[in-house]
Amino acid sequence: MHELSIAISIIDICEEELQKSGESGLEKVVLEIGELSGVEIHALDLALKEAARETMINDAKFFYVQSKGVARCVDCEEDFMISHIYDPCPCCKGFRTILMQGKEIKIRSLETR
Amino acid sequence: MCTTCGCNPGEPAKMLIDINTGSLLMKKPSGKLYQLERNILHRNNQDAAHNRIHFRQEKLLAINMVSSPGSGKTSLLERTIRDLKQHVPFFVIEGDQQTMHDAQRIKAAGAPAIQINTGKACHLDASTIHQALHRTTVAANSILVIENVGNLVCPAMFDLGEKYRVVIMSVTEGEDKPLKYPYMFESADICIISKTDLLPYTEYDVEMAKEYAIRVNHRLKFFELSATKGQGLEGWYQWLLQEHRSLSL
Repeated sequence: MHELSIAISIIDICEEELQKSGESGLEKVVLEIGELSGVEIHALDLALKEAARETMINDAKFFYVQSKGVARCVDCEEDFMISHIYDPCPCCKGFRTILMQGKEIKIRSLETR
Repeated sequence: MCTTCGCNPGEPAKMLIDINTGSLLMKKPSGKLYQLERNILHRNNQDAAHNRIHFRQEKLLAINMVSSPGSGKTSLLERTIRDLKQHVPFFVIEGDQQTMHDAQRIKAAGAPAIQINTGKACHLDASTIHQALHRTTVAANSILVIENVGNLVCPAMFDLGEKYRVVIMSVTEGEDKPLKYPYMFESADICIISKTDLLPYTEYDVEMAKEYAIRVNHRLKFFELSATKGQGLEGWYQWLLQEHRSLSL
């Protein structure tokens, strides 16, 4: 249940940013969660609702952008989409790949009330 | 190809999805919009970078050991400490949800150890390691082993500042562990296949397990060993001693 510690970090960052902005509350939080980040969005959403309770941002709505997995083949030097970390290169069928995108866990933007 | 803006070959741009209603977000913002683009693990990564500086300054070889519960992390550590403590000082940080058992086992094997009980948490994070290190003294030039909570999921995304991440799978588990828990194997540097003395009693196919692990992470280096019977330990020890020697270079 690492989603809970991630949710707590999100709430901490949001509170910090809200205080900096001097506004009264947050309307919307847009999160980017990579498909290969190991974070389950439904679990994170549930954890966020718990973690936000009785904080400055308890009525903010959370939105999720899912970035797709992209890998690069070391041998073919081609980028290709993957849905699993262990997907092979479509050209050479090899597994000498490097993950280029899909591990993101970040806050994209906040919208105040 | 751009790997940050979200444009993907052959795919429409990423969609904003409210998972509760499934609706797309097209509305103009009513309040003020703040573009943050902030990594949520940033704080942990900063703490990990801080730990890494500590480790380098004090010439510590930091190793993060991860696996599912019961794959033999503590047994391998006990044996390694018994066999190598004449040559290298060890220090062990034990992470478990509860009990002091593992730290006691390590101390009995002859190395200083501290126990961190994570309580309800399923992983160690960089700040916990940092705080633990401030409460104790680790002799310079030691091999610092952090034995993570037995869990192949959560510890994967938390960098502790280690130089190497060692993942262990035992031959009493399925060969497809790397495919089932790819995040952990993807983030590891070394893969140890443990309990090889039990191979005659299991259906475990070592070559298939390695093949699966390589599909997830082609950079993995393997050791096959048995901590109880001592098979295959030389390779692991040589690697450890060599890495330890390179600390003082």
